[in-house]
Amino acid sequence: MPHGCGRVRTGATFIPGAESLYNIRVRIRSQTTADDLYRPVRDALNAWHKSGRQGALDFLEIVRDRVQRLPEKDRPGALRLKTNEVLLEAIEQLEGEDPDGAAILRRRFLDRQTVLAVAHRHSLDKRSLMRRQEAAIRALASDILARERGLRLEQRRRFEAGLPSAQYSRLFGVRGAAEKLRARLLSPDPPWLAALTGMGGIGKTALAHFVVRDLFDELGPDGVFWLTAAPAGAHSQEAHFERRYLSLLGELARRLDVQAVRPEDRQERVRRALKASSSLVVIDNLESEAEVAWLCERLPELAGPARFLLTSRSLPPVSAEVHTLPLEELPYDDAAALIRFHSSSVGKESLAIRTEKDIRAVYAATGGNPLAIKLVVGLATRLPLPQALQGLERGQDGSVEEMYRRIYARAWQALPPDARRLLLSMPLAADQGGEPAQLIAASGLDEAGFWQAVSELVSRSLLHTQGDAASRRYSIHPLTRTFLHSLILQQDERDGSGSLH
Amino acid sequence: MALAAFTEITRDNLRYWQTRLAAASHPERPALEAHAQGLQRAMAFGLQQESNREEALSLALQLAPLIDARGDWLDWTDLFEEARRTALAQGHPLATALHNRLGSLYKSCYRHDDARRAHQAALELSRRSGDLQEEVNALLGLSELEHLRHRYEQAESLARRALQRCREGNLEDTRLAAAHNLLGMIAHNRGDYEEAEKRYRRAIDIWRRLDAGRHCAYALSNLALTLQSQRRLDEALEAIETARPLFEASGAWLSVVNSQLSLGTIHFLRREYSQALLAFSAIDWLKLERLGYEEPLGWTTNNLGNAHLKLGNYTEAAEYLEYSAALWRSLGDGVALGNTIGALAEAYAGAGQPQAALQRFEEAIALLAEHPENAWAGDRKARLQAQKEALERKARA
Repeated sequence: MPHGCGRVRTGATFIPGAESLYNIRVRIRSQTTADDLYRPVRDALNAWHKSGRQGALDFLEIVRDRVQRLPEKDRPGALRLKTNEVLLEAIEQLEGEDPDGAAILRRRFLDRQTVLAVAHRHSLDKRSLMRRQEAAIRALASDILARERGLRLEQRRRFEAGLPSAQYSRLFGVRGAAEKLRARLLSPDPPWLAALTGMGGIGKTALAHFVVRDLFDELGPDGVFWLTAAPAGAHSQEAHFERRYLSLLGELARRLDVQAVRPEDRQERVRRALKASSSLVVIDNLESEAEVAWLCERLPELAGPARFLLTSRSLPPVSAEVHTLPLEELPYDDAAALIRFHSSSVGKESLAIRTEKDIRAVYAATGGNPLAIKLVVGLATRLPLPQALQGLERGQDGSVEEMYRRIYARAWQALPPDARRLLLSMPLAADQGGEPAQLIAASGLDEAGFWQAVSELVSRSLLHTQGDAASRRYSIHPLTRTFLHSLILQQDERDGSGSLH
Repeated sequence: MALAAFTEITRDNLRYWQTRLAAASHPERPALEAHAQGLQRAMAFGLQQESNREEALSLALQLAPLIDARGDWLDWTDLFEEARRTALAQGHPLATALHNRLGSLYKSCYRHDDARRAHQAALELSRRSGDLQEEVNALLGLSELEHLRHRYEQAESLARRALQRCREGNLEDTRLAAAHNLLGMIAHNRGDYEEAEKRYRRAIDIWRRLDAGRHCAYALSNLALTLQSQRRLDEALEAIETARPLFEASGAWLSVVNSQLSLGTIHFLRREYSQALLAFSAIDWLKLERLGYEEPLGWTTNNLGNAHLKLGNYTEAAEYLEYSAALWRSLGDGVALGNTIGALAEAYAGAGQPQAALQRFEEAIALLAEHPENAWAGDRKARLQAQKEALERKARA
């Protein structure tokens, strides 16, 4: 099965082991036509007066969604009731466009009149009636399909609204890791905790986002809870972990609609709700090894079959029941594809890095680290490649931290003054980003200079854009923050005469 | 000295926040919650740079009432501690004020010993420097701490000294109002409602004159409690209704919580239990819990429990009351705990569990008996005693 249908959100209640239904679902989300729905709708009309599942349109979200809203959703007949409701609404819709067709359907299926009787009533011969009936059912199928698509679109929007905005336009070299992660998140077996680990800038958040965003069909519109870990702040470590955990429980309780007064009761209710669901909780960007270890002790109480995905630079403790997926640097071919793509996207086409020799040089300097590649490619849009790479050669014993330090230092040197000034203001912005007004005031740039600097830094992957079309915020990668802090401290250790020019 | 350009950037950033805070109209203030991390970074970097310390300390003092109003104390205490250390090390004149602000933050975080030390240090510094305003602030802070411990005699003595110093220095400002308000609270807890009302009304007049809406609203809420205790419910409701828009205009979420608690209580006393439940339910108590506001959380859950109790929802009532009791235990407030356990006893009695109820009645009565200085505790104890005896008679019958 391509999508691990064992974890289809509806579960056993609505899909009694019928693979064909799953197939219909697959077709519905991609290229389903009204013709594909003709038979199921006809069967559903035929089963109007039956009490069982037969003919129920249980593969449609518009039916399942209504059943889920029923106070007694498991009661017998719920599915039939809601299937008929959907059919009836479609027939009512048809009445406006084809009153005869709607009347034929009502008489044939709701009033259970014979073909002959209805044909007689409509002054048609039997064959003509059957043709009219078929056309009316096709119109019904078309209307139902349009409403199904509308609902799915709305659900998709709801699903995506719960995720952070993507900080990538295309990912490279993640197919294998994405498949493994996807398989893990859809596996019906424990362990229920997964950790995506790897060095800074390797793309943990991007990969998690990429995979989770694609799980809409499996997890449903409300099946994912994405939480971004906040920095530790001023609290003691333990108190900070406790507060974050409490906040996590509160958020889950709210979204699962299982509030309880006392935290211990709430935890129990969240636990029970998660035990009865196949939701996914993502906790992104955990900073410390201690917190990963702390969570690995607490989360198993809540997990199973619900899953938790943690992203962190730190590995979970060996003793923890966690499936760890380490993210490695990109192999050469993928890194080369990223270099070519990013180079064409951020600079002039004529200056793009294309030759094997140049690509190999960038790869040698950055390894397969995507952020490092983007930074170096950004640098190469302003400097000739040999100058951009000067001093960035990665020695045998060169650590990743050292590589980043050198790349950032070189990127910093190559920035125009206004862009430097803005970048140097960024440590003062919140993790969620600073508003333009704050950054303009802090950097001392005029508005035109500020936007120019934004454009410069974004093109060099030194600044991220957040927010929506109406309001923007600008943030930096944690590694960029680390570099800027070290830059400030370095100058501090000298004599403070550091200059931007 | 840090990178020269970064020092300039830090200064301009501090000034940006100072201007923004000063210009923010009240309704916009809650939006600043979204900027807490940016403000913390502004202050933290500013404190590290010699040439920006002055601006950073000013920002700290500007932020203090805002933090107090929105109650996000836990996130700020360490930074204020650092600001105080910095100011002290430099012998900066703002050090005394920072001691007092830190005292208030600690008090709000239930770190009463730390709060006492901070106010005590402010008291000594202010006397040495002849800073009358901060001396009064320190006296008021210390008085409030004694009041929280139900040590009314000591609290009154400190508040009267604050009042005296205000008169000596012709301080006709918010401190004078705060001293009257505090004396009103002390009188109320002693059962001297006439004196309490008099003090509250003086505080309200001063705060009104100063256009200090949020403070005025607190005094009005306190007045409402005193009026409630005298069963002057219409007047109490009027006071609450006057306070509510003032709370709301201040943009201080925690103030609105208090106002909502008062409103619900009035409905409760009028036996309009469904409306009381509605008023209490409007409070986002999960947010109180998340942010660590244990005292308002204790009252909210206590009140929700009581409203459910009167509506006959005994299971829900017991759930809320047990949680409230756990909070009072952790805060060490015997009067509030006795009160809540008493309500829990009623819930068990209502649910047909007389043994559990009797046990809770005894516990509540014993707790309240430990506070003879608190008039309200005495009244409550007497009523619980009567309920317990009635239940015993019923059980025997």
